[in-house]
Amino acid sequence: MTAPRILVADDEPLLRAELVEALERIWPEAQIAAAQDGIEALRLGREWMPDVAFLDIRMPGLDGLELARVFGARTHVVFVTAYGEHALAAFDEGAVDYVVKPIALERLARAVERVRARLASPPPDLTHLVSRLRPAPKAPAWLQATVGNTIHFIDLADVVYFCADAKYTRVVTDGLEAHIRLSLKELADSLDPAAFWQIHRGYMVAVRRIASAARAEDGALWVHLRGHPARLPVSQRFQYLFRGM
Amino acid sequence: MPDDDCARAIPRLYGCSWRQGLLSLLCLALVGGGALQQQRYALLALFGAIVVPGFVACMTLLLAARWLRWTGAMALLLAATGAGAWAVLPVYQRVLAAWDVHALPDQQLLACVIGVNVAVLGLPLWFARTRARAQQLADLRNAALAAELKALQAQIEPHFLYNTLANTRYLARHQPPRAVEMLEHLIAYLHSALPDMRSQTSTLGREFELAGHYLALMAIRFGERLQYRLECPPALAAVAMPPLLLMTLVENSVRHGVEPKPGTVRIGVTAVRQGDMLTIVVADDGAGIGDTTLGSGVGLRNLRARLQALYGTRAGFVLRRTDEGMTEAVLTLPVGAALELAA
Repeated sequence: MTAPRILVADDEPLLRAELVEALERIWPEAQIAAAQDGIEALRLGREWMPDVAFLDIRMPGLDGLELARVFGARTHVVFVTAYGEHALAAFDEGAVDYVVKPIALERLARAVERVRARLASPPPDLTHLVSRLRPAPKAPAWLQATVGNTIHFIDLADVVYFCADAKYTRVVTDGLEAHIRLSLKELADSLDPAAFWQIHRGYMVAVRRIASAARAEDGALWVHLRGHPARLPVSQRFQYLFRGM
Repeated sequence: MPDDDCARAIPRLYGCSWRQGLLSLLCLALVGGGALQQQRYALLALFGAIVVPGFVACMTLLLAARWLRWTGAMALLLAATGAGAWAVLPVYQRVLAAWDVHALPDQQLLACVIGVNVAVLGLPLWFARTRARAQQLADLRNAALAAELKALQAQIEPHFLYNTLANTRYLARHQPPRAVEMLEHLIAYLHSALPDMRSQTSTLGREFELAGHYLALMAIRFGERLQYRLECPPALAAVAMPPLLLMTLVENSVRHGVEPKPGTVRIGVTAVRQGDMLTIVVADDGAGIGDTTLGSGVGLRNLRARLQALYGTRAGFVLRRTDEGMTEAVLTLPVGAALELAA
């Protein structure tokens, strides 16, 4: 059997060197190549066809999870992860091995032993595992908006309402009005539906700023705001939100 | 910051439910009826002259509550009471003349009406304002404390320590002098990072030193990928500033500028004083804020909360992308301003 090929990818040079050294000691007959970021690792993975890849999960360019998915059926993957960074429980299902940084030699030796035993069989399908490992997107806390050519960072807690404005959206706070490069629809999809209510095709309001909803003489429903003079229309489609309020 | 304390206090102070209102009207009718029965017309008229402007003032405040702040509410109360008293004066004179009872002189009546109403209606508003101010101050102090605590937690991530130590271990084996250098930076960093939370103020020089140790550690870890430059003008080294504000910006720059970008990233930290304002800029040519419109980072949120708690509106913070593609975090602080909140 030809010498197994191992790819090591880590963006911190000293940690990469340490891992390479440790592997040389544990697995002397292997050939080892190192990549300093996700893109280099991807290139090496395609050209050099490694049998095993030790992938740091957090890397610039392309992260370890993405690489594991791309390497797919050809390469056995061992993840290298920083302490506390990922839910390690997900690894323990046995589909794939991992080592935690700083690397303990015995732990690495065990991982090598296991991966050597698996080399003859094709690597397991990691798609499912990778999607579970990818941290769930956190609820957004701020947004980026422009006034003229200045970018403002607006805390979502300061937003009073959003208003559709041609292709873009206008965001209104107590202190300023700015534009964001997302449609109201896209925004509505990514914001917490308990914190922001869409009340009209063109308006989405911060729930905690709603003071009251009242019918005008013509029967239209309007939302009045706490501490802000604007009143916003509620279209027929969204009037159910205010039933029983 | 929305200040609707006043708008909420007014209905509490002057409003009432229908049942309470009816009950009050009943009481008024009883008192009025009693006075009429006893033929104390002068007292009855005086009573009416006091109650009617007070009622009008209450209604005006209730109707306008949504747009009012404390000063406005006070002014409106005085104006409404004054106007009410002035309007009620001729009616009072005419009624008493019709009943043929001796009326109070105009000045006395006005003083009476305004005096009683301001005392009965104005004092509660005054106390409510004092209470609301105290509450606001307490809230700010709590926010400052919470932000400080979060800053402390963010400082000593186990992840940071583990990775740094792992680097040191490798260096100890291969380049002992550099390992020692790294340990020295780590010790100095921990030294200045840890006790800071106990003191409310630090100096610009000290904060730059802390940022310097941190960047030196990161430069060893990232190797050639990270280059940095710190420039603290010696004349500004003694300027007082809150601890760990600068660190938040530098860490942010490493996390969002250096870590996600392949290749070399430069970070520059500078400070200038213009008049009474100190401007600190952390600039990097890394990955930057890019096209993401929504973010979930809490670092900047904490930073803003701290600035708001410490300086109110006198401090500023902007994150921007320059035309040359640099990401700049710009912090503006008033120099020598006594912090609004002492520990």
